[in-house]
Amino acid sequence: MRLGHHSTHTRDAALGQLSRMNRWLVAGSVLLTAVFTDVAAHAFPGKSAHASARGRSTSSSTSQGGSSSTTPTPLKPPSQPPSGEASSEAPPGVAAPRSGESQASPAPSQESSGSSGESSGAPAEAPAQESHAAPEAPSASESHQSHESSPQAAEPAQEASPPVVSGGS
Amino acid sequence: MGSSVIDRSRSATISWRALGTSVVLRVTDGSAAGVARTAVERELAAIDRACSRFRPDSELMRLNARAGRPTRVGPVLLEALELALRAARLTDGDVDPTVGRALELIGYDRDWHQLEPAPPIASPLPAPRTAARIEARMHEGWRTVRLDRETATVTLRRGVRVDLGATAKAWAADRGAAAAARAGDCGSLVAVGGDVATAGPPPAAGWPIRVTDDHRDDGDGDGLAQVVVIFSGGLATSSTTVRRWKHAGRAHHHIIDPRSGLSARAEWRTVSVACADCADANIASTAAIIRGRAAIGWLTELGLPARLVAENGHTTELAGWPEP
Repeated sequence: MRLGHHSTHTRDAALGQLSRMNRWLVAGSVLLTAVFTDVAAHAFPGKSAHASARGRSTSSSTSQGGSSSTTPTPLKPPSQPPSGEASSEAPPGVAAPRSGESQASPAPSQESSGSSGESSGAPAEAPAQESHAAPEAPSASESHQSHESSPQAAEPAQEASPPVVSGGS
Repeated sequence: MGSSVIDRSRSATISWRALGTSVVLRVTDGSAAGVARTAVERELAAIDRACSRFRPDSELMRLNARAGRPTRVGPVLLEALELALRAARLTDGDVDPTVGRALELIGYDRDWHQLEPAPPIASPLPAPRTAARIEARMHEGWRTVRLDRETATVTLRRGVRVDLGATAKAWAADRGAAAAARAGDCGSLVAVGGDVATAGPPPAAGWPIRVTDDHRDDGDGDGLAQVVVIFSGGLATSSTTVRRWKHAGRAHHHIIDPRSGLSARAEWRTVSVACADCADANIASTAAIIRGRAAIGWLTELGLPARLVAENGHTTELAGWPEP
């Protein structure tokens, strides 16, 4: 009997200890989960599916990527869209080209037809009277300089400058 | 003397190399060409010192090397970073300056002229390599860049590498054109690697620009080139047909989709956009390459004149871009 009573006490004590350990383990797990969640949230910040591309305003001077201190200026269209070469018109405030200037520029269809025999990057429609390499370039020997007749001062046939190329780089 | 052949009535065009690419300066007053060029060179040199990913002494190299620690930066790099983060915000992360590590992982870890070239065609890109993709994503994230304007301090998360290739050239063109116009008191156009900016009064007939796949292309760009005229602002072109290289037996190009960490799978081979300045135009053209067909609605909604050239050569003109 005494041995059985002792055994029961021992068992109850052990069960109580196990129960306390379980409670600590559960509490520790919850705490660790919270800590890891916080760390992960800072390390791998997500974004809303509907996140605005315009950012948000705050009063701080510090910006962290998207949560910027100021609303970014949106992409601004040009004051005037590009025009086809043959139909280019000067915007208000710019001297309108004389009638001959448009004629000096070939139609767009001529542009894409290729230009065999080009040299120095000037396309076939470049004015024949354009003068190249007039003065020396200011510095680096690899550079080259050309002068073209000004639209204000020359005959229409001399006025168009060869196009500058915009392409991938 | 050189001045004896300079005529104020004539415009002038000068070209040279800087920032690892070609630079073209055109001014409406030939007599101002010298001072205008000096002004542009000064701007480009400052940007190169601050923003180069390949110059050992650049501020950007130092910033990348100190990732994980706050780093003070100069005004040029600070402004360049602000522009790059603005680009990321405006495109919801499509144009992300923290793709530097992704570029390194696909082999773009030195000046691209030193890389093994890949054919200049828009061939299908390789399937993403899982390891590279995961590693790139782990290290990317423009939202993690901390920038304090007041103390001029920037903190990158450890492992992040910033690359300003998507915005710096166009920004350099804007700054160069403005500097040239101020110095020469005339109209100016500056093209840096095919990104075109203008400033000051334009010529009466405007600035003629040939848009094509490759800024080095003197011809008709396989019949896909088009000449347009602008009077102000900027025009930028992004293309997947140039700056291509081989790495580990695979072809890559330089426009990175931050979501995969790999070269964008391009629906468009080339996109040209006109904006109020060249930096904006380049942000839009780069994002359009990454967005694919969704770019049509996006550009239209923003009212940005654009020309998108599909893989098969079919062109789409938006928001007032002239028909060929």
